[in-house]
Amino acid sequence: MTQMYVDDPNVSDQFDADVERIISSAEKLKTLAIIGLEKNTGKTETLNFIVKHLKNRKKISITSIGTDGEEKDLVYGTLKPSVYVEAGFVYTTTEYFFRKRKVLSEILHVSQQSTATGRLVIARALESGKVVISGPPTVEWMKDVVAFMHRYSDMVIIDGALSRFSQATPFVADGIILATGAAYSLNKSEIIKHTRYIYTLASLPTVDKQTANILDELNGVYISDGEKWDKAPIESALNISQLETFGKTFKSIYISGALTDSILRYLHDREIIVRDFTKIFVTQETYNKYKPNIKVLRNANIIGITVNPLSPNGYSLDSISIIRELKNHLPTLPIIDVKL
Amino acid sequence: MEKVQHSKLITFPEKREEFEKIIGFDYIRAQLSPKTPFGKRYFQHIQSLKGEHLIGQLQDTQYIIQILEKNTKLCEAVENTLECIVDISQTVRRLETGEVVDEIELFELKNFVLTVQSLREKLLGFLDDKFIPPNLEDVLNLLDPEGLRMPTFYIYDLYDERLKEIRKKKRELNKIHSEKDDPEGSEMEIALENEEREIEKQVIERISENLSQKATELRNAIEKVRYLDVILAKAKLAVELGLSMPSICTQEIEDARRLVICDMFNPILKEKLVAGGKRYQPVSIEIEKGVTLIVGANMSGKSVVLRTVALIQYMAQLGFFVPARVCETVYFDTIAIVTEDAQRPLSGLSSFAAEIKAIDEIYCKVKENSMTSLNSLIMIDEPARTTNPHEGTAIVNAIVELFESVECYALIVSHFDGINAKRRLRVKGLKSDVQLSGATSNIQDYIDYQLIKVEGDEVPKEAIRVMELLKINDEFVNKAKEKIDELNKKQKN
Repeated sequence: MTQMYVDDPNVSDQFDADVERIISSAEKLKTLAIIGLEKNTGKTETLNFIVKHLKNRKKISITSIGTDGEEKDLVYGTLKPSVYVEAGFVYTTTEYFFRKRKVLSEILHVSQQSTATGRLVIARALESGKVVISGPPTVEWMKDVVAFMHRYSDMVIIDGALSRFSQATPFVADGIILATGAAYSLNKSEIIKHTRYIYTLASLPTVDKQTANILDELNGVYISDGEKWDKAPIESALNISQLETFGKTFKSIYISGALTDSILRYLHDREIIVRDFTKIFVTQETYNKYKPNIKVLRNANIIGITVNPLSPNGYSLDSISIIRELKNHLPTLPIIDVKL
Repeated sequence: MEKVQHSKLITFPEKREEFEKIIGFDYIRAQLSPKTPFGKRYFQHIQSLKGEHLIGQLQDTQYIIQILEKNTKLCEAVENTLECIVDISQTVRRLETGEVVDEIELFELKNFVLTVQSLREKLLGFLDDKFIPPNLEDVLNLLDPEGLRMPTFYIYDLYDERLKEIRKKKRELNKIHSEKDDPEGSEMEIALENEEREIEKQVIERISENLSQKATELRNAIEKVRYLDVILAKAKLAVELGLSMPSICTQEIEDARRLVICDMFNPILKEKLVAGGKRYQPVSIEIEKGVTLIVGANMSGKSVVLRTVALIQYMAQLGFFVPARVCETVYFDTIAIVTEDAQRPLSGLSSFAAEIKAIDEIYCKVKENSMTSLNSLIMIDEPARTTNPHEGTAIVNAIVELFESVECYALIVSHFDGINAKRRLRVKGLKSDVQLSGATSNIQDYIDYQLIKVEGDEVPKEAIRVMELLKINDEFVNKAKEKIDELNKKQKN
């Protein structure tokens, strides 16, 4: 506990309670995704924090969302988020990093497909230490990897890539922790605004089960007048403006791909259905302007928010006040500072 | 100026890819489902087989089909096991040249060997010895000193006594660290790590050396796995498409052998027809040495006959079962087809030029082949069709005589009158019992595609009947009939 907390026993109690709640929610999950809202929002600290609290109760697997950019950074040594693993943990990395690793590891699987830094290696640490986690770059591949890791562990943690949520889809992860912090913006109100927005998207209402089952099978753009679903007469959602020329009337529209600003502009007065919040690429400004009626097939289960008050250039925000303010807007959600 | 080509010569083996496309082998390839990376590669770069290999593969396919029918469960289990095969050919190549392989390669090798052993167990007692991979127990022992037979790998403590000691020390130091919450390793730890790396390196070198002595066995195992995968895929294809075993004479024979194909069908066309609720009529053909002329009305399936014969011949030479009830054939060193390229539209003289050049080219090739006693099968689809009937007839007659004069089997399709050929087949054509009232525009439904042997030099006159069936305007049909009468009178005079 820092001095600050000791000074204020109420905050201190609440903080302890929130830590307890995040940990006990996480413990119930099969697959937890940690999403960083920006670089250096303390994703790795959040991961280590969860691991620290669960390592004695759970067999844990760790993977991450691979992105070409990030791997290039890794190769050129500009970024190296190693993660501390205990003996018995299963983790994913790529050939390049596996060959450089220092932790004695047993190879469990080597993929046929390749990433930017070689094939994906799934390994079990036989001693504790730091390893470079690198994971599959696509959602489909992530699904396979997560399924494989579940065979060797109780719980899989996905270390999400920066501003890429796709593999944290609720179709893969049954729980999410949002990591936010000073690096996103030094402006406190910006941090709070953005975090609330992501939370809003993740908590969008779901369609009824029957509709979800129907739409889950469909690929492309489908429209409905309230009864049955028909394929829209356009090639993809990018041609959404053509819908008008067909003079089609519809109440609801389902888009299996990405929902963007330009698409939303055409549809803001209809009910829009997307698979889940990771398909929404709408800026906060556009969202606030239209206040669209968006539903999802499956909503995300955000179990908590972590706040990292330190920016990479050493600037420190007052995490207590950020937490307080976030709590005003999201009173039921556990929100903690992992650095404390 | 660049000429528009649309009739062209496509030969096998020279232009294999184009040849496969034009005869519809692409479709066949897409139906194949090999399970291993070796099988997949085999079918991507498939080669013509010769002699014993060809006969052997056909017989083995027959043998596996019987097993498939008797023991479905075994085949499923074998397929599932084959799916787990990883491609280790690169590693084996490295071992053969004495290179040191790495941990990931050893992991894959162990997986391969475990899979092969499990395959072996499944096959022993059920399949002929020729399909059973060698026992790789020795290799497995090298990769699994603990004997746990798990599909995982690391440099086990058992490889070197020193490893166990070092790793134990490392763990102890590690524990002290984590209690102190100090993530950085001490000098002592770094020294241990380096020592461990060094020993691991020695271990890998030793394993690589030991494995290099087993490279032949590994190579043999790959071969067996590949062969089983290939034959299993061919057998399944035969069952799924209803193919049968061809008899193919690969020895040089003095007397000219006749090619006999009974009830052949074109798999892709058959699938389309069946999907549309229609029946496919199989066709039989006998091809003797020399020229066989096929005549028939438009839309009577003459081109399909050519392409199907080419497909059957190609599949037979690749050791596949073929889409025909009976197929007796010989081995051809060259298979050539001169046909319209469906991708390009017709256009006057330039198309004639391209076509006649193609025919000239293949004639030279056949002459060359016959001098070195190489066998050729030549198929020419409606030569000179874009030129006038007067010259066209003369040109086709010339083609027939030329190809009759050299050693080859030639199939020539034409709809010109007055072509002299020793052997002449005609598509039976419009069924006589077709009711005009009930006819629709689906002419295919009213054609008997059988090929029948005929004498004389006339081609069937069915265009007017086709016009009637298509319900073309009476005025038009009657006018055409009048003109035919006029022509006939003129000829008589």
